[in-house]
Amino acid sequence: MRKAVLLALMGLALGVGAGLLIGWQLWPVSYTNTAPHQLRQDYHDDYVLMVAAAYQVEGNLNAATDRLSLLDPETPGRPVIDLAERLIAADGGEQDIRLLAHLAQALGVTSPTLAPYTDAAP
Amino acid sequence: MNHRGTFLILAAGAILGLMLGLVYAWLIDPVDLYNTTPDLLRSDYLHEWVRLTALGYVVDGNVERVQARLAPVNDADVQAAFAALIESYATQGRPAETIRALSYLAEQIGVYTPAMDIYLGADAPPTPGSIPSPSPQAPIPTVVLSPTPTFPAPPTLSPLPTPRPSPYRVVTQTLLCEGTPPQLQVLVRQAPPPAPPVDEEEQEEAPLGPLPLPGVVLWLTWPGGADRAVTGLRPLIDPGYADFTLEPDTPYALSVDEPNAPVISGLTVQTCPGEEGTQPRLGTWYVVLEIEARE
Repeated sequence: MRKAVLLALMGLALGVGAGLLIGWQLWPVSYTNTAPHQLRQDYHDDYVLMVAAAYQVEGNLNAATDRLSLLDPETPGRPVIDLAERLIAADGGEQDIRLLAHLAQALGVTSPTLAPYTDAAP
Repeated sequence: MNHRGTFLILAAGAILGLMLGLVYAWLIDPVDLYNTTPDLLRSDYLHEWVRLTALGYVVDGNVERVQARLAPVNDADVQAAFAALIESYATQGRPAETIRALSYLAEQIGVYTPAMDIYLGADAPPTPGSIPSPSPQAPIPTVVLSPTPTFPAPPTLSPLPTPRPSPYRVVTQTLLCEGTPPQLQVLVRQAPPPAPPVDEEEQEEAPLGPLPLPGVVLWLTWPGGADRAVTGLRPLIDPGYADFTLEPDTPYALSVDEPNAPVISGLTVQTCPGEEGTQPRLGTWYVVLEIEARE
């Protein structure tokens, strides 16, 4: 009896292992309908920057807010501030920083770090 | 326990374990993709990605950046989103400089839509990257891309500058009694060049006809207002075609290129003769304008 239980547990362990191997590695759930918040960091940053550029062209703050809400529904302006501060720290392009700073200002989430970049239009 | 019993217990445990493993891996804690690429985005987000990429180009004019952003995206998705963006901008009357920049970019990446034709014909290259800051609260403000926008839209046109003669002439002006609402349909074309002296052998060739002119700016002005249209946005009707909707009891003037060069003045909606007892219908004016062939 004890041997039978042991065998059953061994089989169970092998089965679970095989199931996880198949489910996570060999044949994982296929994602094709992803959302912007799942983008890789570089594309995520691109998305935020492009939203700022679109705001510059279209001037539609509601559209910009809706787009940023896909990244952070609670505080849509947070990704803008985060990226702007990272660009400033990394000595990034001034035009990009200005775009972000203006959008952040329009969203009411500007920070002292961004103040020098909101003085003039990009 | 014999060998068969051992195998059955082991197999039963393995099958149960496999099922538990798959339920856990697929349903309870599936692979969480958070480092995805744009090509995996849902189709509406994907089109938005392409659209944002294009608008980013309007601001920075960086083609390499565009190529990097669109690299993971399927060509068909890029073309569909780009064409839709340009068509919608043309329809909405967005600044010509913006649409020209978008059309230039579309051409660079192999996208074509008929609305691009009128914006790619200009000699001056697009000048992205010079957009002033928008008004934060305005939903869709007018964005001025250069100190002298190509198609300024004055809120009122009175008093108008002194009228000046137009190089265009009215070839035909016809009242059409088909369809509603009343419109002004304009066809702009270039007169055929004067026929050069030909040899007898060449006489059998058909003479050149008038050439439709896309990209011509038409102005319809009336007391206290103005509207603008550009020929070529509906190439399926005619490359030189554009139309306006007319209101009854309003005198209109039609100008070409600038609002102060009228070729027709005092144009009003006319009633079509109808059968007795039926409601009279308002007619549509069909006008053909022609400019002399340039040397």
